[in-house]
Amino acid sequence: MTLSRRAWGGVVGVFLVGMAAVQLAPFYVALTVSTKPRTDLSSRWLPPMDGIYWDNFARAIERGQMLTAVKNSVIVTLLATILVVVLGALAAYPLARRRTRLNKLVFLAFLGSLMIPPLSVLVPIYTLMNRIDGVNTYWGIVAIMVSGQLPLAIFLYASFIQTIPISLEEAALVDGANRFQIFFRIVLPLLKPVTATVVILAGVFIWNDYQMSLYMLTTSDMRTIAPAIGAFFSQQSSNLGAAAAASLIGLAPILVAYLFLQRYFMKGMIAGAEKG
Amino acid sequence: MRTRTTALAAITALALAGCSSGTGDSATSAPDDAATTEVEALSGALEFMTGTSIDSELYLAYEDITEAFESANPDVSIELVPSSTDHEGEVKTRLASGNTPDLWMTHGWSLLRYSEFLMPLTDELWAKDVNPALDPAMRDGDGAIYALPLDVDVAGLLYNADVLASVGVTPEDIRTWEDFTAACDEITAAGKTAIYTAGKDRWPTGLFVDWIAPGAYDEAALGTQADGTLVPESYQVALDKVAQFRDSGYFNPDYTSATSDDISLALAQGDTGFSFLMNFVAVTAYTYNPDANVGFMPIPSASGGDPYLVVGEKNAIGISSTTESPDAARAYLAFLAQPDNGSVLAKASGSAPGLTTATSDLGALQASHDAWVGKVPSVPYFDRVYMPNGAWDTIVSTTEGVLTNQMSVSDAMAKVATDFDSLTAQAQS
Repeated sequence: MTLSRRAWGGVVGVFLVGMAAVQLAPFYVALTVSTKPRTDLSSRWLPPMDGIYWDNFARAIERGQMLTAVKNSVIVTLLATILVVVLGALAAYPLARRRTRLNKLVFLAFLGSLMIPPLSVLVPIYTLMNRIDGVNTYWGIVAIMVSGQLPLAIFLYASFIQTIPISLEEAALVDGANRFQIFFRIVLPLLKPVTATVVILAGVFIWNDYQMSLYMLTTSDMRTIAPAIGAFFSQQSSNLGAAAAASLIGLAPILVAYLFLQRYFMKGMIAGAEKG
Repeated sequence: MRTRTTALAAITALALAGCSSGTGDSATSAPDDAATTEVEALSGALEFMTGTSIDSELYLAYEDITEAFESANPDVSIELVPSSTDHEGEVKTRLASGNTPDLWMTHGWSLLRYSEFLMPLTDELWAKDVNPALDPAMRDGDGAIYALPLDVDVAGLLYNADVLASVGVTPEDIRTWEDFTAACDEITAAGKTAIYTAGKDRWPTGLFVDWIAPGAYDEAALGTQADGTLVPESYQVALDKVAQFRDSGYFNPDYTSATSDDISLALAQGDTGFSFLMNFVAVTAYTYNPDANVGFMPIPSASGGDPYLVVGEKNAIGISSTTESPDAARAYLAFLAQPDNGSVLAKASGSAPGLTTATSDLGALQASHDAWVGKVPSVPYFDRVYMPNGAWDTIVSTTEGVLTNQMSVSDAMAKVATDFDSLTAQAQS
């Protein structure tokens, strides 16, 4: 019995190592490509044989302005994620607790907007942003990101709030708390797990966004990470080495954040599953 | 600051923007007498969508020349915008939303697609120096031109001479499609890819039609099609050839995931004999392997005529008709068109210069250029002249369907015919 359990554990271990290898393969290839010169035509699976070629990283930082791009991505992601969390929770609370016909309609409208492919509204959004001078501004891209992520956040928050016993709020009401106090003192602290989910889903999406940022942020001082990496590609010529180096530089902050916040990330990932 | 005038700016304004005299603009021309009074300096902020990646040779050349222009015209600032792989999509979105950039690279469409958004540049001083090879592609019936061409896109069949030599073939041997397929059979038998193309980027697949179709039409058929009636039996020749190449196993097995960069790599490494692509792919191949032996040759004619080259507009820059700083934009183009700058830009793009006043160094492609250009006939890009606007997607998807054997040639032709008619009707309505 023990032996078979051990054997089973071994099989699972091999499987997990295999899965991890598949996940890590693109990062490994990015590492080898970014550390070899363009004229090194050896397989991308082979590490650099003639020492590490740092010029790709220098190019990514100097020409691609990756440090500025990382700064911009941090600003946009932080601002937009905070707004998604605050506005999402505030909007979801009445939608979950006051199930009037109008509120149900509003909730359905939010759900319906999840079905709209973001690129199908690219031209109207760009036109609107252009008219209100939102192109190449932080507030412009933050507004687009927040409006894009809010429906999902509202859906998640509303579903979660419905699972919180109403008796908690009734008790607070009896004790003399008003609606705002109930929300901020009773409900909000209970929303931590779903907030972690929302932060991960919205934060990762905003951090990785390419298409909207590509159109909205065209100047070198405003570009975020994804369009900054994209600038190394064009139809006529591409620099894979510098693009790989730029990707690794863009990856670093997320990696550090993940290492420090791993516990919360895990909690957030399974929070939705727990509450169904 | 607008009135601050330095001698340098005045001289530059006169030397560069003087070409706009006679068009009625005020800011660059002297108020009374240019020789004796001060000239109001150029001013304005320009945004230029370059259509090239941020560390390409061409972008670096743009940066240097733009810096020189800005230091001569301190009140003009120019924002260079690098491209993604979808320059066309970016430009279209900008035009559709009304936030038109001041200048943009017209990627072959200055006349047919963008002319209504662009300022006519026919009266600029450099306009008379435009390489005559570009006239069919860039000038309308009245001779008007809408963009400054930095280079000329001359294209044929790309080949790796070492791969051809290994099976005993020289590019000069290939004059007909039979010669070509015989060479492909030899290359395939030797265990290499005969024709390398890229499905992930999509657009390279459409070039099979641009390359093969012109040789399948006679003058009358071309005229019929230009007038809005598809000549299916001629068009189908291109798709039949693609089906034949497919059935003979000439294409690279990683077609679906390959990019145009992979084609450059395959040419650089000697993994393929041929490719149906523009010369910039060969220029990129040389950046991977400076010792590669890559060139281009004329395309055989399916109707038995002389082999030909495809010639068109490539890196050309147009000025938006709605720009707020037309004088600065024109002065900037005039600066780019100066022989020294034009030569630097043409060399950086790896192509023949677009202006007769400029020179270029085609590097390793010079030999192919000297061997063929001016000696064989040239044809324009087929889709740009003989297919209705918007047909490119159909060309790519149907050729892709045939290449991957997901579509029969007759199904593909039916789709081409339907889309041709509806796009033509849209264009005429």
